[in-house]
Amino acid sequence: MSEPSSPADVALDRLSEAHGQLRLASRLVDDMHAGLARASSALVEAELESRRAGLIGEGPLSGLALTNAGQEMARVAMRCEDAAVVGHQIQVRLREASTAVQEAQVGVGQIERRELAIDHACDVAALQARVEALAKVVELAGPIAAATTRHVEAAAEVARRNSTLNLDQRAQVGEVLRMGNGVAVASADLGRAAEADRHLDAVLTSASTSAHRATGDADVVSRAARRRMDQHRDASGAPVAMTGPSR
Amino acid sequence: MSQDDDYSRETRPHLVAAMRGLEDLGRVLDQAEDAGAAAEAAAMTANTAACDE
Repeated sequence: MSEPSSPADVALDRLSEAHGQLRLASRLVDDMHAGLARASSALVEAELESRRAGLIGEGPLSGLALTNAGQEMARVAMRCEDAAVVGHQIQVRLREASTAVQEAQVGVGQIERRELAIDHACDVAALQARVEALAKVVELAGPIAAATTRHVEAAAEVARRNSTLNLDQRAQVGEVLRMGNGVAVASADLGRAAEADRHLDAVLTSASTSAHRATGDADVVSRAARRRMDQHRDASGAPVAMTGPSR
Repeated sequence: MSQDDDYSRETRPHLVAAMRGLEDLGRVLDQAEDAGAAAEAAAMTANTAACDE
């Protein structure tokens, strides 16, 4: 492809480039919209699972529903993270479009008008007005894209924090529940599971700001639950199939 | 009320804001595409006139 020669050629070439970048940005907006719709669906699923857990109350089924909710939140996070990547790609396209429009403005400004026929001079004036209008719209799009991307990143961060934190802790509770299954007295199992659930709630409340801290807290819950189970076994003399975290 | 509900409430406003931002962006980009097409057409007209002279 040959280099554009006259200032009018430059303007035309740069405007074609800007137009192409804007079309690509529009397609990416459609992709991002589809990604956010999927994230929103996963969030609805997470809410439903969470409410199901609340309706069930305490016990293994509640733990399963909470685990499902955590997994849905992980999906929300993943889809928002993907959408944020697309958001950054949109911003790159808009920057490219903005640069091309600025170069087109320079090209139009360099068109020599003094010796032009009146019709041609009018065409150039119309071109200049069009390019200025385009520059304003493109400049407006950049901050909107940046703000949208920031919101998506914030949604991803919150969803990721929740899914990681809860899944770590639920793994510990699942371990406690499996331990309970090994004990002969069913009512004692349920009691321990309920106690573990109550401890999980306490840990969830206190450790919401740090997944790392939450993992440590959940470990404490697990060890405390094991200790209580051992104490209960020793005190009641009930037959215990096994003391470890296996069935 | 579980923690998931809390986090869901924390997540949803960001998602809603992002969706609204995206809709605004879509509208602005539609305008930009129209403005780009118009500017391109004006550039072609100006260029053709320059070649004729």
